[in-house]
Parts: sequence; structure tokens; C-alpha cells
Amino acid sequence: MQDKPKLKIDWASHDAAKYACTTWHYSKCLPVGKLVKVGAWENSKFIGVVIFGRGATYRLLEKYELSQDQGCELVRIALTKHTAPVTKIMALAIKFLSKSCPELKMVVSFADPAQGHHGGIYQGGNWIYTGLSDQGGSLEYFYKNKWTHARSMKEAWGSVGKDIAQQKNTLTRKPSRKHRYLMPLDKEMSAKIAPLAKPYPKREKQAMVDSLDTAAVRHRPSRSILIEELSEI
Amino acid sequence: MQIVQRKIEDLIPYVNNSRTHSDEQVAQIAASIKEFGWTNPILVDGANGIIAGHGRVMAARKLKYKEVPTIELKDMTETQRKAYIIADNRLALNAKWDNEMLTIELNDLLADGFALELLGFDPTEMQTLINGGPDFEPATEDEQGKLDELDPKWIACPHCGKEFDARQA
Repeated sequence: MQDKPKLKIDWASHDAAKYACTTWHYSKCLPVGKLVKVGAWENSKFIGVVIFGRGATYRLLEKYELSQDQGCELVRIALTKHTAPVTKIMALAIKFLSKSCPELKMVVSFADPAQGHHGGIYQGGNWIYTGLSDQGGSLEYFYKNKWTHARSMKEAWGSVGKDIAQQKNTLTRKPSRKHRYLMPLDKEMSAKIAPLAKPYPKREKQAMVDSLDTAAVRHRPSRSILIEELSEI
Repeated sequence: MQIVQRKIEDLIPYVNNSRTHSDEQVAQIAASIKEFGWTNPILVDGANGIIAGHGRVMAARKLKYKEVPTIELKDMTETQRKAYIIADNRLALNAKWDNEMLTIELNDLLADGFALELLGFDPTEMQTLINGGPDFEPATEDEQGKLDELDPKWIACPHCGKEFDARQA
């Protein structure tokens, strides 16, 4: 039996984070704004990043009576094939985050049901589930062949993004509601948000895609969860 | 062991088949059959029930073939047949790649002008395999943002023009 590869967690560079997100994450982009980028290596081979940022809205922490500098959002987990559990990589990344930003009290993250995600990795890591997020007032814009949040339009493309967003023929949509998970970073915060906990949502069954002419075969669910494990958010 | 051509319409898929095939994968198998021909016959039981090769049969349908090559395994018990349908798929998954050797082979095929998309790797994975993939070294804490600090927000007073940090106001 092969030995488990040696896992190493350390800071990641901008280039490494960008490569991981554009290669291994379904969004194919690195989030904008101030970021803490934690990398993972197995047997010295780079396997991806866990990225924390301010999140898409400045009101992210308002309802927990925290200011913007007291919490952050886990904005990406972009990993290629790996052996260590995602929950372990994520937990070690949060330790790194706490070391670098000791004043943080909580991490928020979201799982998008529209992408078939229910937050299995957060459940595995004992995060607190608080239900679906609010829809919010910001729109998403269809630009460069993908849906982009208003904040990213502004930060990534500046006034050009603003102009595009204001064009009448630009497709827009309201962001979908996402499963929200919280990870308190100290005992006080843990006690404060414990009453918000709701039962974990279950994974929706996916219909099997095939074309065999047998009804019994056609309606069997897919059992693959690997893809979700690799790119949960 | 005899290979016999059988009509696709006579073959019966196993209703409890636990292996799934997406349209994309069936298209990949179809492309492979077109390029390499039939390299792996369908395994059937004594009553034309498919034991192994559901994906290949779906690909043959996509290619509008009428017949496929089959091998009949009529001596299996019901339990053996049920088990082999799983084992045939599962055992192959236990093999590993020697990535260094794979990179050499892929680059050879590339040099020969072979269409690498026929091999079944996704394009990103293929690119990483061909190039060996970039290997990033750890960075420093200084390269990270301080999420527990707010950046100063300088605002100029509309009356006196004096600038001040909005965080201090």
C-alpha cells in the first residue's frame, strides 16, 4: 500500500492562486479585491489554493454585528486531484488565516445550489449552516461570456465595466440564493452564532444523463460526487 | 472464445447497471471506435443480456451501427454475472498512471500529429500533462492582504479642502 502524500499548507502567490482558479475552479477566475491566499502542496507538488476575501458585499457581516475588518468570506477552494481530505486542507487554511489576521472573528462561505452544490465540505468541517442567503440588490451581468457580479465588473474593469453594465442590451440577472455557512474563530463568536444553526441541507439527486432505451435505466440517479468534492464553491 | 456479430436491437441493457455514461463520454467512446475500430467486444450472457459494454453499445447506437461484436459468457451464475458487471468497471479504476511516462508518450503522439482529444482526458488535464504543469513555490505572508484591517478612505472636506481618513471620523 502506498504511503499518503505529505501535505504542506503555506502562503500562495498571486500567480499560483490565479493558475489554480483559472484551471481548477468552475468560475475560471480569481476574485478581485484584498485576498489571503493559502496554498496546498502534496509531496511538494502544488495542488491548489483556499482563498479568503472581503466577499461580494460590504454588508456580509452586518447581521452578525461585526464590522468589515472582523470577518471575511471563504471565496475559493480551487484544487486539482489530491489525496488529503478537502476538510483538512480547509481547516489548516483557516488556521493560517487566523495567524495572519488575528482580529478576525468569523469566516462566512456560500455553496451555490445552481451549481449543484449543497456545502458537503462545510458540513464535513462542522461549519454552522444558517439557511439560504438573501438575494441582495446587486445584479449580475453577462460579460465576456460569463455571469459577473456587479462588484467584479467595477473592480476588474473599472469605468469600462460600469459602461457595459449600463448598456441597455447587457443581459442581467439577480444572483441566486446560496446556502450560507459560518465558521466562528473564537469561543465568543461560537456562542453568539450557535442559536442560528439550522439542519444541514441534503444534496439534490442529479438525473443520470444517458440515452439507453430502458426506462428503468434512464431514471437511475448518478452517484458521482467527486466533481463536487473538487470544486465545491 | 468466439466473437460473434449481434444486432444491437437484440441486446438487453442490464436494468440495475450501476455505472453511468454521460452523453459526453458516449461521444468520446464513439470517436474512439471510429478511430481505432472495435478493440473490445461486448460481453453478453446466454440471453443477450449485456454484462460489459453498455457505453460501447450506446456509442454504437450514436454511430448508427446495426451490429456489434460480442463474446458470450453463458457459463456464469446469476450471482457471478451481477458481480462481474461491477468488477469489470471497478478493477480498471484501481490502476494508476505513471505521469512521467504518460507525459513522454503524450508528447510523442503530439509530435506525430495525433488528435489527443481522442484519448479521453479533459483539455486542462491534458495541457497540464503535456507541459508537466507549473510548480509554484510557497509565497510569503507579506504578499497577502490584511483582512482584519480596513484601508484608509481619504476624503477631502468640501469647505476647507483638508483631507481626512473617513475611518477616524
